[in-house]
Amino acid sequence: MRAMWMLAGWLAAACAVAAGPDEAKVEQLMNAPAAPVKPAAPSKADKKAAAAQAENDTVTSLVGQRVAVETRQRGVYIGTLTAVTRDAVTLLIQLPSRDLSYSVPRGDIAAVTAR
Amino acid sequence: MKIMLIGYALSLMFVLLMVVRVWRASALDGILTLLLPFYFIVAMIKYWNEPDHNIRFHVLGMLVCSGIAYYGATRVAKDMLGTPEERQALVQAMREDGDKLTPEQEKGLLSDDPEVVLRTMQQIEEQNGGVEYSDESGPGGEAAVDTQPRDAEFDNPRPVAAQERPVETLSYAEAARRAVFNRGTYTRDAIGVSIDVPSKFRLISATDARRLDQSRGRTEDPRGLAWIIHERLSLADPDAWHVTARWHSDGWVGAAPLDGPALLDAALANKTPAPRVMTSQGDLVGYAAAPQFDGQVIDWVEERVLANSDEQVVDCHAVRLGRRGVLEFSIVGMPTKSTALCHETVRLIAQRSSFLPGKEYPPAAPAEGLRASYTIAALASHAR
Repeated sequence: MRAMWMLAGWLAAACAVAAGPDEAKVEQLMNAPAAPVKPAAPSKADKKAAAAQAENDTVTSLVGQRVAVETRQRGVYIGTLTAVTRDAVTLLIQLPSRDLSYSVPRGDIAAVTAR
Repeated sequence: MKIMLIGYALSLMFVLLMVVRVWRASALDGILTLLLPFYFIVAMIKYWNEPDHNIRFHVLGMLVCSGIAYYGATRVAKDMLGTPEERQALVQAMREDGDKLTPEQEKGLLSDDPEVVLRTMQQIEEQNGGVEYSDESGPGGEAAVDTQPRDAEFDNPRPVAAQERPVETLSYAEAARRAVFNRGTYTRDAIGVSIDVPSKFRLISATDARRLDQSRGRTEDPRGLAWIIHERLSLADPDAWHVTARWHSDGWVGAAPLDGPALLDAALANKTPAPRVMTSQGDLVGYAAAPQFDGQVIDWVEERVLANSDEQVVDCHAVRLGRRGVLEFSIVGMPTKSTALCHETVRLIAQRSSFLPGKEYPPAAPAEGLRASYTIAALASHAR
């Protein structure tokens, strides 16, 4: 029985190698239940940085200004920073047809810069 | 072919030996065995116990050799008809050439029964005034019906309007049922592009894609090249996502620095955007993945809020640059929760695509040929 499981695992691995890493990644995403992209778990260094940041949070000082928020997944959002909480920052993005209030999770943010 | 001929020859030999043996017993039985199809059964029973005239082993030998000949004949028929994939490619090539195929003819060509396929091929040949279709496979398994290189799009690099054809109104389900799913490598010699379809995906030709769009009352996309859909998704489901492959014969596109925030700033400030790539009907909110260029492919993901709705979706793009234009792969209107899947899929397919030798993207503008009026930065920011 163990040999069969090993063989099945070996076959799955061989298929993944044959398909290539990119294709295997797409397959993995196809099989995974659709879920919001979770931000990367903060490392110890990140936690220390976050703690230091909490004391002197520069993001809070940008409230009311037009900012660019860059995320860890290469995302970019530009708008007026309206609120900063421990969990998220909120932007007011002016669209041609309406104003949109858009929240970006704090754990997802790589940089916030004034524009 | 050899097997069939050997089988027939041995079978004939056994028949002649059988006739000789029976003839020696009775001339009348010998003549009847030779002329009447199943008389050998009578002769076999009649002379069963006569050691000098029984033909049991001759009959057995004849039947075995006939079986071998039949096997050989079916192999010849299969070789002539080609594999189901080759016949699918043939159907697609005939459609792209504007040949009128009825649904029955399509079904006949794709049938598993060789007789049905042969009959349909003969019918089509008669319909086309004796023009014979070849089932030879070109590079990558694509049927090469038209041996003449079609360089119309290269000679005239501006967008070429799709050929006018009588519009057939179909339901979406019927259009999906008729679509032919292609695997392997898809090559368009006219634009010099090749797509190695990932093993879990299937490619649907522009003709089938157009038919599906028409069945939903959508306008025809003159740049449409193909749809690529995952094997686990049903084409019959109108909500199933797919990658749309499009060809922009705009000429060589210049590279430019890609600064995500600056591009987004420009895109948000532009009140009259001119998107060249497919986009959802809605306002741009931001880049879920800012544009990135690796020297051959630019990819990015736009987050949009749909018009008259609060629903947010993502449009994913990967564009491979070529010498005479760009090859676009887009998924539009994907839920934001599937951003990673959407992005990775277009990137995968763009990585699996390539331009044929001499048609690849040169980093510097070529001395000859058309140059696009926009850069890759304008492509991603929808600037004019």
